[in-house]
Amino acid sequence: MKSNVFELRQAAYAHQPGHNIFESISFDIAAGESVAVLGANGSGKSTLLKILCGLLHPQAGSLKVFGETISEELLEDDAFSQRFHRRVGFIFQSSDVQLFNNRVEDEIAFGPSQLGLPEREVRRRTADMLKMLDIEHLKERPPYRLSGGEKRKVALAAVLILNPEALILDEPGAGLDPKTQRWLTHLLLELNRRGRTIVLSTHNLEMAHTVTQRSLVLSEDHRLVFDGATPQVLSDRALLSQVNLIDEFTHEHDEKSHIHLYTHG
Amino acid sequence: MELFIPEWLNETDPRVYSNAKAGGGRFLVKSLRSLNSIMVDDLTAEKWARQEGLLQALSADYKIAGCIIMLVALSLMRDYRLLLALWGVSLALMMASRLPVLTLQKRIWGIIPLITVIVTLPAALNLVSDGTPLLILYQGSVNGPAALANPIFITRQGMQAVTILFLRSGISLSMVALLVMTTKVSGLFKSLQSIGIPAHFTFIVEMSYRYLIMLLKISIEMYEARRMRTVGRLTYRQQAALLGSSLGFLFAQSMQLSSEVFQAMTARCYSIERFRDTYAADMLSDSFTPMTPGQLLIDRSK
Repeated sequence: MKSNVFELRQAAYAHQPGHNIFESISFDIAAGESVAVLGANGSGKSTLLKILCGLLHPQAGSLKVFGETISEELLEDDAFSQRFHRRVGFIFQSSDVQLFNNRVEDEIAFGPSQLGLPEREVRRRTADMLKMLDIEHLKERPPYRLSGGEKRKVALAAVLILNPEALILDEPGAGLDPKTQRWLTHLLLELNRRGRTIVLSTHNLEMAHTVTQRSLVLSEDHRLVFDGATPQVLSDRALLSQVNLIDEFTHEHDEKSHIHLYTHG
Repeated sequence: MELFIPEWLNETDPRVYSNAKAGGGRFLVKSLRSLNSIMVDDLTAEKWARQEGLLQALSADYKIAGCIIMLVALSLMRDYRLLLALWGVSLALMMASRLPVLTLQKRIWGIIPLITVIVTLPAALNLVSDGTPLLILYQGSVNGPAALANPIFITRQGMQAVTILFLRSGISLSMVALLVMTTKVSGLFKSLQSIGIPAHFTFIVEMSYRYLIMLLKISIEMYEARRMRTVGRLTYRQQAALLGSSLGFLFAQSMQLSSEVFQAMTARCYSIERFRDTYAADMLSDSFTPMTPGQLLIDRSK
């Protein structure tokens, strides 16, 4: 039986006192699983992901990551923080906020340089990442001048170079062209096949279907309303409609009635 | 689709690297905490304004007028007993408006009035203010020109002046806090027009406030992202470089944001020439003449 990477128990979280986002949310994510967090805008997907990667701390309940109970105090311990951030990688929805170096190459090398790895090893890993993400031609460019898809690739490389065991991605497909989306889907599948735990939030039901085996569905009032196999939730039109992930629109063409399904994305 | 995956990415690396020691990440945590507390303050400020209370029930126009009258009265008062009475009034208003009195008092008196005292304390010395000695700081047997500064003491009159200044700044802050915390931001900006401040000016201030909060959110995400990738020691040089790149990034973001906002405004028929003409007309019209609080109250009671 695979061990759990994340264990969230009766977690409650509020951005400000008296305005709860989550009141009591519980689930486990096992090593090697790939999980989609689905929900409409404002359902709390990003907040949930930030709780999982220790950026936000539940006011009640608990979170265990790799068997250790995570708290704000524990993350202030530098040795623990180093281990935690190396094992759990987080890709933000906006790649802009994640890129802060003046050159793509320095951006990717930022993590391993801090670990004190030999310069040669840092350079080797950086070159591997540039090759893996097909961005070798961008290495001298300033990240803020890149296109949305290129920025996303650099942000991924900057996190993957730390070789995290669990990868959390907030809306990874948002703003990407179809080709880059397909490339990203392929990469996530490959990483998962090689044992990485993948947790991603998305509106994109196609990406959820292709990449993940399991889905957590959040309702608009921030409750976990479904936890099960992705194909099962994607075939439950009533549930998807209830949580505002799809919408139906009926109209007529040449005296024939059509139903269109609208999804976020 | 063929993907190149490096060998080292196939294995997990359980090593703990030596560079984990030392608190490089702490400045990121501290920055995050301060940014988050500003954001929470912004959110909770609206919460106080929305709840039921004495001042929340009053129109923002009356509150602005009242605040201005109080500030003018404060600057004219020289009797510390009157000042203390006014402080009492501010406390009573805070309680009647169900504001967190203790927290507010700590914040109000803990920063600006204290700095005022530190800055003005030298003015209480006999070298600046003549008067009767209250506390002798230095008395030696010095001859020559240095004897002019002998003895050095705090004068009673100088100390009274510093105390009055301290009380004035603290009570002024209390009055402004009462106004800001019991009025919704939108209502506050709208009411500024009641005292003759041109609509265009309040519009710009309102927009700036809105986008400052947006930049604050971007800053929080930026620091969170850095924290997630800070796995080792950050030297002071690296911390300085991070700070520099943060400032550069925020500057670039604010430039981009402002140009996008401008484009959005243009797309909705905004023209800078028209704005300038209207603004100039506003400046020349009677409405630009700031109204006194008395005028405002008379105007409102009509």
